[in-house]
Amino acid sequence: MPNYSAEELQSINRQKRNNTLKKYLFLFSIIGLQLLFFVVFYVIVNFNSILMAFQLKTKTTTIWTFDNFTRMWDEFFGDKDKTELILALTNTFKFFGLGLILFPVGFITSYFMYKKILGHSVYRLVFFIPSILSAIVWSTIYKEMVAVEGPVVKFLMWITGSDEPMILLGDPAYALKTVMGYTIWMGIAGNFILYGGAMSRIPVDVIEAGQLDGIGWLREMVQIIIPLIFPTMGTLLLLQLTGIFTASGNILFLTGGAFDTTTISYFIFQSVYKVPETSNKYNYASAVGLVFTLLTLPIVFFTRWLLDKIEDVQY
Amino acid sequence: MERVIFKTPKHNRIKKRAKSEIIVFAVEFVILATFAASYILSFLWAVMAGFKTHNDLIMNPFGLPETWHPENYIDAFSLLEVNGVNMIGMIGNSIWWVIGGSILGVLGPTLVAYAVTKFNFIGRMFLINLNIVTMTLPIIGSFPATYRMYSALGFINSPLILIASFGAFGSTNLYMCAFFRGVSPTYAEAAKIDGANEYTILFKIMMPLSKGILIALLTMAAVGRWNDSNTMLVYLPKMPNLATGIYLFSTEMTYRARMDILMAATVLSAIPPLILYSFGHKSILTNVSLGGIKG
Repeated sequence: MPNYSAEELQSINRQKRNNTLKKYLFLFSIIGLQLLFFVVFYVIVNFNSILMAFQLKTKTTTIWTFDNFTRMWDEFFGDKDKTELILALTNTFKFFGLGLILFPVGFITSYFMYKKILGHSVYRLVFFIPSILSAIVWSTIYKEMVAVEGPVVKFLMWITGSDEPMILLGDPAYALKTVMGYTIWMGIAGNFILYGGAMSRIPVDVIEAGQLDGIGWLREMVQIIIPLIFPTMGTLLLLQLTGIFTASGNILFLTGGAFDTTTISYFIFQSVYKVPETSNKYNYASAVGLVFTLLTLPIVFFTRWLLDKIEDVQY
Repeated sequence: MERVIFKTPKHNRIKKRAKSEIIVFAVEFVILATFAASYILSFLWAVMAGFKTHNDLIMNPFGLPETWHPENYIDAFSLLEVNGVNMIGMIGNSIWWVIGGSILGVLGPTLVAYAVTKFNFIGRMFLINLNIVTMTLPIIGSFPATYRMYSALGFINSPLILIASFGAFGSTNLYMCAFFRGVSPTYAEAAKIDGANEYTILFKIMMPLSKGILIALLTMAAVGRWNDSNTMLVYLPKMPNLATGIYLFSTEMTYRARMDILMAATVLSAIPPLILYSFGHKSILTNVSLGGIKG
């Protein structure tokens, strides 16, 4: 190490301090505003949301109370058989279950596109169309398809031999299933861009080595593709599992929550949409949200712990 | 020295597909082709429905129009009106919402991703983990508190709401972190030797290098915002964009009488995202990738 005089050392230290200061000033200038907005629109908003869960507004003042939670408790465990919240939770679980079924379906679809199934380049374009056109476009079309005079009802009447046309979106017996049908229609190729991107980075040699060993498509998919793209798959699975209480369908455009189709997230949306902000519905929705967020926490931690246990394959 | 590449004939390298495999591929082909056809035919049906009269559409929803009415696509501009805003006004609202929101929504997390991947500073790991936490922990029910916050800040029915788009985290941050980690530090080092400051490195070297992924993310953000109706319904009810306008039009009584106009407007609203996607889809398919979020 060269010998520096005291003055030189002082100068070097000053230079270092200047560089550090410049670095922090630069960093502050490029991320300071975003972090401030994060505090305002995420931290403070969520903190307020917790406070709101313990508040109720009267005509003159705001009181602190557990009423929102006792009301929620009554809705779940009270005398009434079928409250709106029980219905919303049941439907949310149904949509969550459907999401779990569609998760591997999206992966399998992506796998066959990766394997260059006939028409794969067309599917790559067409399967993105559900994402690029507004949900209002698809729901308007879907409503016509499942209308009384539409082809879906005619087909169902032909299959069941019934003379009575079903009102699919206007009858509680069918409405939720019909909304789920829309979710399936739109979700067949879910996440295919992310899966496709991950699969395209798998070295061709690995796939060819497997083929030379005579493995079939199923073993290739399960024993080669899944381990190699697991970081992507794990992340998507984590997001899927942690969305247990936010799972929903296109309720707003298809039924507006009527005919027993509401979900937890639609219930919360409804508490704000066209409701004056002084309403206590805001506070009740905040309490419902808080309870379900707390219930999600163990699922998040367990899923992350589980995914961390699985080692990533390096290639 | 010239490199010699030995290639084995394809039929030797890859085995022929077994019968069972051919059956599986055939079944999958039928499923995928059916879904692809359903998307294309549904959209073509909507285009055709826009050429019909309202009565023709009700009486004969799936047949060809009795008489073709291309004027529906022009009339939609004046007849589609919600809360005193016509279709031109809705398109205007869509444009500022898309341009402003997409740029701010992509730029904010991109700058944070650049900072945490290219600099060592106090709190760096905290920011990286905070992004993962905010992404994986769904906060349910903050909608009412957000409304009250926006209301207090004067964001309701105001373009000021765009400010909230300038975020720090989310999937864009994750995508950009993965990208910046792959960019060699030699670019920045060479520029520093040439006397470039940090802003020059960021805006004249790193941003041009990120062009592909930024185009992909901007396209996805723009398409998402063009189709965003929930935000406008709740926070900007007096400034409906096209997606919101069509929804509100469909719920009003006029819808019963002018479904032809609704369908024409619906098809017209699909044109901008289709154009955007046709330009940006290659960037999306080649640049967007998501890795693991362990930590």
